[in-house]
Amino acid sequence: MPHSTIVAILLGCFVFGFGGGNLSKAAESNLLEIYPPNMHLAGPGHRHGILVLGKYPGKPTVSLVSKATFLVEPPALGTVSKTGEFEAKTTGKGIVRIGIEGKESIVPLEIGNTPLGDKVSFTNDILPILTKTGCNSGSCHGALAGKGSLKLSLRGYNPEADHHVLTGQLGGRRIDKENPRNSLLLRKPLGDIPHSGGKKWDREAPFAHLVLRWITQDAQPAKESDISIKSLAFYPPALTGSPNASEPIGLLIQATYSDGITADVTSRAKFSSASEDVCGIDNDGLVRVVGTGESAISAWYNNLVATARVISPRPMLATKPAPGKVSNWIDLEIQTKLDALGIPVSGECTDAVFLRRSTLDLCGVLPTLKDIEAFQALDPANRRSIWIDTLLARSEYADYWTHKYCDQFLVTTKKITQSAVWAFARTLRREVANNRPWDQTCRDILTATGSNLDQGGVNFFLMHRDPGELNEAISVTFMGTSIACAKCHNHPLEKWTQDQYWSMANLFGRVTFKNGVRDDEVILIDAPAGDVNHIRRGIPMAPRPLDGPIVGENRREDFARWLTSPENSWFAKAQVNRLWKGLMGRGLVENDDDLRATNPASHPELLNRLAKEFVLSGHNNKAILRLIAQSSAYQRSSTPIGGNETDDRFYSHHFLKRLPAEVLLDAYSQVTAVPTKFEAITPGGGNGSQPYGGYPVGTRAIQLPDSAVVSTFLDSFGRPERNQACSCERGLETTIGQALHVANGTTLNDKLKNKEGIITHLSSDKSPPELAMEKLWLGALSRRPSPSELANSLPILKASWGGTPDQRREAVEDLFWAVLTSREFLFNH
Amino acid sequence: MLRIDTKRNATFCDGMKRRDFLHAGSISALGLTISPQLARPAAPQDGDHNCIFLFLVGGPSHIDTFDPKPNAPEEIRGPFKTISTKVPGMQITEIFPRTAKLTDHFSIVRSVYHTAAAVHDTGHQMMQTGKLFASGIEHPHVGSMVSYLKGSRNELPAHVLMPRPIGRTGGNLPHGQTAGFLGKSHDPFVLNADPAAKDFQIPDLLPPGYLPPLRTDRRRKLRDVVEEQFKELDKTAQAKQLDEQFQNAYKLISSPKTRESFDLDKEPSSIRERYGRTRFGQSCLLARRLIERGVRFVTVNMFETVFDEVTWDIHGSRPFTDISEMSRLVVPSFDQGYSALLEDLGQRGLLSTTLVTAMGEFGRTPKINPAGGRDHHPGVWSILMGGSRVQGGRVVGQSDELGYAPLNRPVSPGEVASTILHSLGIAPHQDVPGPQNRPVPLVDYHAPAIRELF
Repeated sequence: MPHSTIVAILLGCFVFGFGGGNLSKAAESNLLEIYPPNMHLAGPGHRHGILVLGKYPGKPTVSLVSKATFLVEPPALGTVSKTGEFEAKTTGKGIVRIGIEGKESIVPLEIGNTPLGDKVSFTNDILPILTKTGCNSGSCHGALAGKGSLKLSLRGYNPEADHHVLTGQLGGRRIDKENPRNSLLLRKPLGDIPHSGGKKWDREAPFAHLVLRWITQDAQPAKESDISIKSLAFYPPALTGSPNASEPIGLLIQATYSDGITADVTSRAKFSSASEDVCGIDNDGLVRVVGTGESAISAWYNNLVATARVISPRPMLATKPAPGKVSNWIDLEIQTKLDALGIPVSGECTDAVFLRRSTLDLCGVLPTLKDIEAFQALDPANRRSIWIDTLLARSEYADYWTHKYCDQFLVTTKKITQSAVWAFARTLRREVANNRPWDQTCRDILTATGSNLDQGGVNFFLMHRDPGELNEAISVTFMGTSIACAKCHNHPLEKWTQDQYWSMANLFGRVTFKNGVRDDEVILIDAPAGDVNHIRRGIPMAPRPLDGPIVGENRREDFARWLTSPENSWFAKAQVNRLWKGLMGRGLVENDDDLRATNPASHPELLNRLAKEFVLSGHNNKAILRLIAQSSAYQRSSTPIGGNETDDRFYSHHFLKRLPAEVLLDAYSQVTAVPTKFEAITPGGGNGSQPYGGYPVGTRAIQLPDSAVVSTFLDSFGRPERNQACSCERGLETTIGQALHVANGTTLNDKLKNKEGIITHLSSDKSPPELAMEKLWLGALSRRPSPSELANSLPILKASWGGTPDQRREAVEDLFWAVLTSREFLFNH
Repeated sequence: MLRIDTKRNATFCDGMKRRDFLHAGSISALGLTISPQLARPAAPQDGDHNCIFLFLVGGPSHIDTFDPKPNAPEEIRGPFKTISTKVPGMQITEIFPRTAKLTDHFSIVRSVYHTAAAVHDTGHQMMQTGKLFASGIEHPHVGSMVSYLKGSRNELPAHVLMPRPIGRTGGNLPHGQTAGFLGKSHDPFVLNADPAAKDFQIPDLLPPGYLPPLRTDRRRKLRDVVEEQFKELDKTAQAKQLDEQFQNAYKLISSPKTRESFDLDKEPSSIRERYGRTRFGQSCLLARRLIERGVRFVTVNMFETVFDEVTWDIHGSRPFTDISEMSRLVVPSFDQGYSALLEDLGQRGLLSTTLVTAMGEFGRTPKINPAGGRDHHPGVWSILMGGSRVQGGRVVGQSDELGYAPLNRPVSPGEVASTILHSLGIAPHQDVPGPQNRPVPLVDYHAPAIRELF
């Protein structure tokens, strides 16, 4: 992305009615924005749009082009139409002077000597037309098998092949150089002859003329000497809209080429909106806002992507909603966005909710009765802060986060042996328990050599023996981005090309294995030579990480250094985004392994700053978790207040999280004091299970290093299979099957019946029913029963207290069932 | 009394007269009398079509079943004679006498093939999802696509799988019986119980047997008390979703309709006999009951594994079976269950809105092996499709002279998936949110529905 140059001048003279008269003028001034910052057209005949936009706080961005005056100097260079379109007339240098209500701004102008229609380029002109009009899309000729007899590369990723197909195949009928108008490339889409895809082009459309010109100019292929596209800019980079705005908002997409020429490619770019419920964008780049909130809009042109943000605030209220409490800088960032959108903020959560939430989020366990006492004994002024530190120091913290990394690194006996699973999981746990700097942990894994039983990280390579699979796992796991699409063709939503994919794959082309002397031992050795071939070109690409430099002889080490260097923002961003999601319930980028330009963060500045803090802290995971947990945004109530019920990404209230499978199962064991037994595994990804005695009674589900441990409960509640590097593997949905299993299945009901459990004590006639309620409520919900709960439940218990021991027990079992199937229990709120 | 509800049938415009005629004919074929008090549930009236997907796990031999080669040498032809069927010119082997009488209800596609590894698991993936899994991404089962796009009609789930999911078949790959990337909410509701078993009961559907109604009532009452505290969070979308699933579960648990839907004892014993008292037969019957009550898609696994039972997987040697055992132990239960299902659906006026497919994951080697069996052969095989918008009595595609490969009109697994969706009125190539929300077509663009069937 080019640096965004905003030509903005303060305009004090505009008089636009503001909703409430009490807004601070100094902080929220009106702005005039003019785009592009400069124009360097190829030559006479070329056109370029100019945007003149007025921005008013909390109001829709409007085009002021009809109120502006345009003065080209010298005038011979060209003219500007009423709609702000500049048309070049002659070669030269000058400026466009734009005046609006007494203020003036200047756009530098240069016009080259290549008139419109001269030197039409296959890659720069023709392929983008085929892409824009859908000819080479996945549903048409870009399909794997093509359509009809014509097969083009998907969105033009293979210009050489496309040129050959268009000019060389079918006896040259597709391109008729003798009689260009007779070319199938024109007659089919123009609808002159039957075309299964129908009529796609209008005869008068400029691009139809361009295609004709290209054929007239001998239908030249791409040449090495051709200029190439260097950058793509999206103007304006941010705009405000409203569902009530009468006119859609126009945009400008400007491409800059290797020779410095700029072109207005708005009509040739493809557009998409990340949140269609906020705004849509049509094929011509007109934005229509349909809801409130924020959306990213993207333009894709010639394998480059540029994005802009559309913000649509809630209707201005007479009084501005009161801002939330500010505990650290995170809250300032969150509040800025909430203010821009006019979303009110829920209050602070209670101590009981904080205790339960933080203990679940940081340690994956429910607070015990002892925890509750310990917390309450702390000084109310800073008990939350102290509690966060207490949690970060606990061994359950290491168990819980190790489990998350075992998910991320796909630790499972489906792929590696039992001893290898233990070796990898123990390595990870040691790193987490020591809070070792995350960059060091990752470098160790990526450069691991030797025995997989000594060096846990070797198993990462053992699991992904296919270079493509390894490549994809590494990009998802360490950079939070998926490059899988680029394996076969240029990434349709991203800037990654197929060449970049295979350059990166070749980084790991020298990883080889041999069997060790011990059982299940495999030794990783870096071979002195060897390469991974590009799947299409059949030759190796120079080994280099995505957009990094070509590496030296120590490929993996150079890569690991590039990956974890402070200049590489992918690494830190991916990690802090995951930490953030773990606590806040939603990533700043969602999904948390889908970082890409076309899927920007909800709070980009916040993400950048968190990543920076992470690097400054020495890649200290605990420091970042502490920072987030201490923010008021984290400690907010999950109860919505009027106006923020539908917010699902701006953190105006805390988001609910269903307890993950393992945490929920452990919570059942803890509250009932009946441990869960894990006695079998299904290794090798098969369906047959075999006994395994490595997990003594009392092992918690979160402590299992292996996803192949047999458990219907964990499967039903979405335990990830650890087949594929993707956070999407963990199911956090709720299903009927889960509800049925919890309510009627054996997992919970057997624990309730178990005579060894806590129910035996609580249903003793020596223990009053009030105590049973209190202990259950505190143990499961971290709070005492409310007066209405006491009033409605206690009589039922008391009635049974007069009966037989069995009747007492059954009543307490039923009470436990009621609490442990309730949503308050199943959710972290 | 032959007709229970004439109006219901009248809503189906296509092929009405023919089906009316069949209706009268096949009732007598069943030799049943239906009493007027046998009230039937109103079949779904929303115009959407349904599907019963009979999965013949193990891979039936095409030559011994629906693509006989009477003129081939004996080591290929096999032991069975070829017989004529209801539809002139449409021939199958003699071991399907009941099915032979109903060939006007379904069509045979004799040129299905796949090119992936010749193991069961790959075929399971492709025949049920239209796609071979790659890079660990699981494509959704066709029934889960329907569930995702249409949702459930009532308290019953949209997609039910019975009796159990496919287990071990040797390849250690996923079997394509989940909603994959569409999310667990659209996984099929799995019965996990054998409808032919004496004490047939679906696990977790009902509270544990030791709980008297008094206690289940008390549990719900107490739970309502706790839930009251959570009400203020109900305005958020997430809380609503969980509530919905629990409410659905409670509806399932408590609704008399659920119990009734799954209660095969409500069927007259003559009907239960007609389907056959086998796991497959009773599954077919239960499938019909569920479709009748609003379930959109039912998947029936004829077998759950190929190792511990006698299946279509006729390698000849132990633990597998050979051709003759197949004809004695496997084929009759299919012939009986399948023919009963077609007839029964036809009589109830449900066949015109219910697609019934029967297919395996591959065919079997044309040449009989030394153990007297046949091995895996994905090169070509035959599948059956009938009901819904699919025309009966047709044969699409041919295999070559010896049954090795398609002679013409090769049909890929993706085309089969497209055909099912198309018949159900669902555009097969529409995009759905795939992994990481990237758009993925339900079925790849180059695999259109088999037009010759419609």
